[in-house]
Amino acid sequence: MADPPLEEAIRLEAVYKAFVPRGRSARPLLALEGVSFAARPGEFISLVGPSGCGKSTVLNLLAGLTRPSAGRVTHHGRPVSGVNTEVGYITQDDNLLPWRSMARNVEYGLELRRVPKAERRRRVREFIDLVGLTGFEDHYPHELSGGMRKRAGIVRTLAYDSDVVLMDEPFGPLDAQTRVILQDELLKLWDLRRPTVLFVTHDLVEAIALSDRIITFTCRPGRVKREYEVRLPRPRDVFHVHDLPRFRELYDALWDDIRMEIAAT
Amino acid sequence: MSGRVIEEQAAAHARRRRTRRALVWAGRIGVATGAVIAWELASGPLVRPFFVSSPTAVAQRLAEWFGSADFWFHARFTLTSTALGFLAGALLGVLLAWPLALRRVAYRIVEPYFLIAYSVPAVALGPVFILWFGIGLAPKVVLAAYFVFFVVFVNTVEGIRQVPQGLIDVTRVMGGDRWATMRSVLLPGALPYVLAAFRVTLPAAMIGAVVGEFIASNRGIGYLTRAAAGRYQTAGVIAGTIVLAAIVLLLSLSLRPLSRVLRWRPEVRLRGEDAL
Ligand SMILES: Nc1ncnc2c1ncn2[C@@H]1O[C@H](COP(=O)(O)OP(=O)(O)OP(=O)(O)O)[C@@H](O)[C@H]1O
Ligand SMILES: [Mg+2]
Repeated sequence: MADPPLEEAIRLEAVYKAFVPRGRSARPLLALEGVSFAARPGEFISLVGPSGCGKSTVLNLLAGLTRPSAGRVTHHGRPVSGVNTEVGYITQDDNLLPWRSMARNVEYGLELRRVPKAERRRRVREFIDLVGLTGFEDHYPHELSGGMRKRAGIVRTLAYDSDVVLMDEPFGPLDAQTRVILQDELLKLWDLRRPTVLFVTHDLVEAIALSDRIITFTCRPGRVKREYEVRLPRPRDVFHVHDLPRFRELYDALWDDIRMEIAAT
Repeated sequence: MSGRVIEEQAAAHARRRRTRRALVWAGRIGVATGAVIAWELASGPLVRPFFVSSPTAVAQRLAEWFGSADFWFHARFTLTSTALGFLAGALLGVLLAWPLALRRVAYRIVEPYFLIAYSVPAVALGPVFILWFGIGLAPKVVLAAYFVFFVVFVNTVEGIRQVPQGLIDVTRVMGGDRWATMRSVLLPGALPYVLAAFRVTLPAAMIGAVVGEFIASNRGIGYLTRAAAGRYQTAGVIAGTIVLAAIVLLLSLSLRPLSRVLRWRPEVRLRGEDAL
C-alpha cells in the first residue's frame, strides 16, 4: 500500500463535541463548535485559549480517547477510530504510575510497545540523562519534585518515537525559571526527530518561543479564532526571544485576541 | 557539612524506626500483661471464677492441651478449614470482581443477588448445610469462604473502579492492550483495597469455619470450645478462644510478605514526618 506523501499529519474538519455531564439537573454542554485546522508534518503548533474552551478535548479527540459528536478527525488522512496508539500524549496531569520508580515510568511506553529490554534500558538511560534526572531512577513519583515529574512524563512519551506528539500544558504548574529551562530542553528534544507537536498552553511567551504556528480559540463553545505564523528563525534561543521585534508584535496581537475572549467569559 | 546533615538525617530516621518498633512491641506486651494481671486479681475477690475462670486455670488447660496429640489434631483441622476457606473465598472474590467491575450493566444486574446471597443467615441453615456438604471438612470450608468472598469481591470492585482514568488512558495510547492495562494499571491500583480486604476477612474465615464446627462436627477447636461450654468449663472456653486467636495471628503473619508490594505508597501522617 503506497500512500502518497501527505501534506498534513493531522486534521480536524468542522469538529463538534458535546458532553452530557452526569447528574440529573446537568444539561448537555457544547465544548467544541465547528473546529477546523490541520498540521503539516514536523510542525510545532500551540493552542491557546481561555480555560474550558476545549483545548484538552481537541487532544483527547486526536488521541482517540473520545469521539467527535460531528465532524472528522484524521491522522495521516485516516479517520481516528478507537485509541490512537500512533500519537504520543503528554496529558495535563503527569499520569505517572505511582507504584513504579521514575526510571520504570520512563520505560513504561517502550515496554508497552514491546521494545527489547536491552534497547529499552539504553534509551531510558539516555533520556533520563538528557533531562538531568540521573540519580533519581529509583525514586517513586511522590518522591520527585513537580518539575522532575513533568520531565519524567515528557521523556516517557518522547522515548518512543511517534511522529505526532500532543502536549497539554506540560509546564503548567511550574515556576518561571524551570519553565524556560524545560522549554529549552523540549526544543532540543524536538529537534532530534522533528515530530509534529500540538502544544496547549496558557503562556503566550511560551507559545511564541516554541511554535511555528499559534492557533487561538474562542471561549466556550470553542472555535478557532485566529491562526498566527510565528516566523521566528530556528534554532530558537528561548532565553532571549523576548528581545526580537517580531516577538512584541505577535505578543500584542495574541494578547488582544485572548483578552477579548477572557472578557467574554 | 552536607555529608554530616545527610548522615544525621539517616541516623535519626533509623532511630525513629527502631523506637517505633520498640514502642509497638512494648505496647502490645504491656496491654496483654495488664489484662492478664487485672484478670487474675479480679478472679476470686471480685468475680466468681466459675464465670471468668482465671489466667492460671486457663494456662493449665492450655498446657494440658499442648501435651495431647488429640488437641493438635483438632487445631490442625480448624487451621486447615480456615486456610482453605479463606483461599477459596479470596480467590473467587478477586476473580469474579475482574470481569464485573468495569462492566456496569452486568454488575448492576447481579448486584442485588449478591446482596441477597450475603444476607442468608448461614447458621440457621445448619441442617441443610449438613445435607449438602456432609459433616466433614467441606461445610467448614464453604462457610469460611462464604464469609470471605463478598467482602473481597466488593473491595476489589471498588479498588478497580478508583484507579484514575488518566493512568488507563495513557496506557492505552502508549499501546497497551487490555491485558497490559489490567496487569500494569488495574491490578497494582486495586491492590491496596484487595489486601485490606484480605486482612479483615482472615478472622472472618475462622469464624466461618468455627460456625461450621458448631453446626455439626466432632473435630476442631470450635468443637472443643463448644464441648467445654456445654459443661460450663469456663477455662476451656477461654483457652479455646485463645487458640483460635493464635490461629488467626499465625495466618495473618503469612499474609505479611504480600504487603511488601505496597512499599511505593507514601505514609500519610497527621503531623510532620519527624513524628513517630
Ligand atoms: N468528560 C467530560 N464530561 C463532561 N464535560 C467535559 C468532559 N471533558 C470536558 N468537559 C467540558 O468541556 C469543556 C472543555 O474542557 P477542556 O478540558 O477541553 O478545556 P480546556 O480548554 O482544556 O481547559 P483548561 O485550559 O482549563 O485545561 C469544559 O467546560 C469541561 O467542563
Ligand atoms: Mg485542559
